[in-house]
Amino acid sequence: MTARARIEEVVTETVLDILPGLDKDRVRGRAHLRDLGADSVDRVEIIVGLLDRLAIQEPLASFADLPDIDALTDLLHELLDERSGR
Amino acid sequence: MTSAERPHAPARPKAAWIPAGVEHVDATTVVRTERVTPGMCGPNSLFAARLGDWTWDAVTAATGTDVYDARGEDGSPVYLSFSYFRIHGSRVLHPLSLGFGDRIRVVSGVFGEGSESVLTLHRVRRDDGSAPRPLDPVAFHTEPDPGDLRVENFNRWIARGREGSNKGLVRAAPVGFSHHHLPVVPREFSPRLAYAHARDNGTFLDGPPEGHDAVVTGFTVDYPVEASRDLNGVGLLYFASYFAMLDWALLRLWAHLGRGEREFRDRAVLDQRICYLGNADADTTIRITLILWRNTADPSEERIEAVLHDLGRDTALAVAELKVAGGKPGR
Repeated sequence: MTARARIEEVVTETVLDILPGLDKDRVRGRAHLRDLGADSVDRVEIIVGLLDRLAIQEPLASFADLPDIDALTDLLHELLDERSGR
Repeated sequence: MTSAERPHAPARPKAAWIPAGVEHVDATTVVRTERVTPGMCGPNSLFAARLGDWTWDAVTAATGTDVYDARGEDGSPVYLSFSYFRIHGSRVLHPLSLGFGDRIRVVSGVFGEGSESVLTLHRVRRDDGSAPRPLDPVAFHTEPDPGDLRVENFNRWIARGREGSNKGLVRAAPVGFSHHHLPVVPREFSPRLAYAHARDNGTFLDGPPEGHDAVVTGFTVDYPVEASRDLNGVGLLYFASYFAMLDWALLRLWAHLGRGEREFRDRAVLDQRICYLGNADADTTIRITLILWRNTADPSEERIEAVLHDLGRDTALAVAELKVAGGKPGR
């Protein structure tokens, strides 16, 4: 499994923890968390949950204007790369 | 997330303060024995209010955060607000069947729901002197005992003035709020399912309930919020006041159906749940719209749907559903 695929999996699991009624296949691509039914508190919980699971330290503000799941995954991937010095 | 997948699950922090009479069953479960007093029972919101206090006590004991004095990073108070509240009983035990002097045993389990939320399950039984059983969240839902009153409280941290804000991503949980050590309930039993359904659809139901006929639809009453009655100690509309507002509306529906006050007081509230969507100012008027469904197989059993709407702001404040028994069919 590639690093990005692993992050996608973690994103899906984390989103489903907070939005348990959601169809797993919807957590992808161009969907914004808001479109998936996440209110403002849900979105905070999803981001904090992702940072916890991936052991990343990053201000929440960095995630405030991301347009979709793809962009969220890209940013997490980038942060993990930075952390590993690649 | 399963416990095994958690990056780290630290031990429960030591609570700064644990209410008198509350004992740990395990790290995240507490038990208390209570004697029912006039201040915690009757056909009103008092019992719900007490349950809410027990939730705050249980979360304090299980997380180490003093919920009664929780503060955000900037030092301002944050509150563990009620988002979803369910009291599920039976004809054997329901909130209105409790009377002065009854002894009850309350087992409360606290479960993780993420960084900003927490779930508390209470199992309330008449105290028979037996040792408290651990609270299994699956059995809680799948093996109901008629002698149990099962209460679900899904709470979210809010900072006053930020509730419902969509500006940016801001944490409201207090400094040091610890949740990684809390067990989690399986997703199919998450309170978020009912909460999101009610929030998104304005009802807990998927459509007309099977085996029920609509008896009353679109019955509305306007409730003026009273600063002298409905606000809590920090000036917010008290969560338990919503229970009182619903009863206030229900009594008027009873009258509309030709039923008397005695029939209202004699009803059994078998199930009641509220999804809280917002707060209101002291001078607002809340329009409560009710739909009453009657069970065709047992006409003494009825379901009532309610929506509470803030007329001033034109926003939904809450969605509720009740299942009652004993209301004499007036029509």
